[in-house]
Amino acid sequence: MIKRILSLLLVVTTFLIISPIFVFSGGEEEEKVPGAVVTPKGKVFKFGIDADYPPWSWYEEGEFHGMDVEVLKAIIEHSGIEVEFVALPWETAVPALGAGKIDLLAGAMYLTCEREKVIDFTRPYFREHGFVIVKKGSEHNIATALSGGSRVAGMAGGTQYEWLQSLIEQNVDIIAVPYETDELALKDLEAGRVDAMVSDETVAYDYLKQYNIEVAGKIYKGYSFEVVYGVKKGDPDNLISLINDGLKWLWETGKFQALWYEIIGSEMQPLGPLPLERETICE
Amino acid sequence: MENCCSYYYNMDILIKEYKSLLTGALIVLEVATGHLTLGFVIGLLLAAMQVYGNRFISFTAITIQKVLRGIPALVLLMLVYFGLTSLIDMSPVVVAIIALGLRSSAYQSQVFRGGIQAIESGQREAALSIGMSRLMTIRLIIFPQALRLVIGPWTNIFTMEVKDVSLAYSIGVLELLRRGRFIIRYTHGNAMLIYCTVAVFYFIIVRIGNTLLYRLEDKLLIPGFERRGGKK
Repeated sequence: MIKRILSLLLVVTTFLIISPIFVFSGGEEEEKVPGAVVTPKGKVFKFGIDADYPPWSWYEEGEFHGMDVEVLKAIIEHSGIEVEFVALPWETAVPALGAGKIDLLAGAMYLTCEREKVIDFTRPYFREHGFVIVKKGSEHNIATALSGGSRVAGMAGGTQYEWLQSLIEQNVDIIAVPYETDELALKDLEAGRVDAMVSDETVAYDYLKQYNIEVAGKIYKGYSFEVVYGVKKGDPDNLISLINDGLKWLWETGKFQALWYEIIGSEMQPLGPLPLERETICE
Repeated sequence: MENCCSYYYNMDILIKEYKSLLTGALIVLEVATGHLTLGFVIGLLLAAMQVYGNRFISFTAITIQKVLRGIPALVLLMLVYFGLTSLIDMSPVVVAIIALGLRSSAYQSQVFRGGIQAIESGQREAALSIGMSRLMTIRLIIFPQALRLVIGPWTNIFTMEVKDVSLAYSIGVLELLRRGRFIIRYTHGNAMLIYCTVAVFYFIIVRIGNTLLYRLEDKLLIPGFERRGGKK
């Protein structure tokens, strides 16, 4: 009797111990984009993508899509390096870049003073403005949406919410409401639990199609950022010049514009590589 | 813009994305199996150290499992991801298995300890009195009976730990929940549908595991012995 129990236990335990062997056959989503030439170092770069931000990056049917992704894929093919795309949520992605777990970070990343201290950036390829969105049929215009005790939503931990808080510091009478995702904020906006919402231009155009909202105004001054790719401080692998050259090539051959119109649409004009004015970032 | 984020309503999106979701479910199974096994082995070791070790060994074991139980799983994941991987390079799946496995071992060791101690006193004396060595006693008498008692509580741990796997999204493991959220994100909707699907997947996994464990408990049942935490 004991022998039977023991042999059964032996079988179960062996099975449990053997099963992890199948685990190492991979689980993370790897998208190797083979280049024409392998770099002398033979290094496979890890590009981190925050796939939560259409139209810049999203994950559909098992693959990464989006403006950021397509631009990077084109540059990778052009320059011949080997890259593995890794999907990390934004909170983990930025420290992972600092710690060297990924070599580059893409995901509509904004050039801000605080980030400049710990991360190096490529040349910006777009300048993003903020939109103030209100519910369709709302009486708010851009002035009333941002005053009079109005409840304004912004993505928590992002530049939108920081901007709202900076407004509060300047004694603007609003209540800043953080939301973890834009979807939750938009649902509340439609339901009337918040009066307005701050969102980025490119993303907002997408929301306009899906939700019952309209644009109250566009923020030019005070909320305008360059969109860049982030690289580890010190840029040990010279990725910045590689990406910058790639961006320039894409723009000059017209491929950038073609991707732009295809993915982001024609409501906004693509801007192409912009000069990186380090001196003016932190005043 | 129409090309960018086309949206689907109702079942179309499931048909389109079923492969991704299925892969996500398989990854959940992979990580769950891996980390439960790791937790099993380490948990057994910790339990043995605690019950049979001298004061120093058992103190070490107790401290280890207290620490591992006291840290939130997410924090442990981050510690292993940023800490351990700076020494050796590991894929996020392995990191998840190690971190969650360590944490699970703490819980499992307590369950094993309870089982061993329940059998321990009476049976050990009886075995020693008929001349069995200490090692023989542990191997042939105590462990088999203890493991039998342990299956009930272990089912609880299994249920808990499968659900903890979703935390691995934070280090880049594209498991079921994360994939579901991706879909909601780019389709700007379908939240109810996707989350219900994810819930069903998890429920199926947990249910199948529970059923298998109950069957195992049935097979090992000794008539007259109490069954812990199972169905009557």
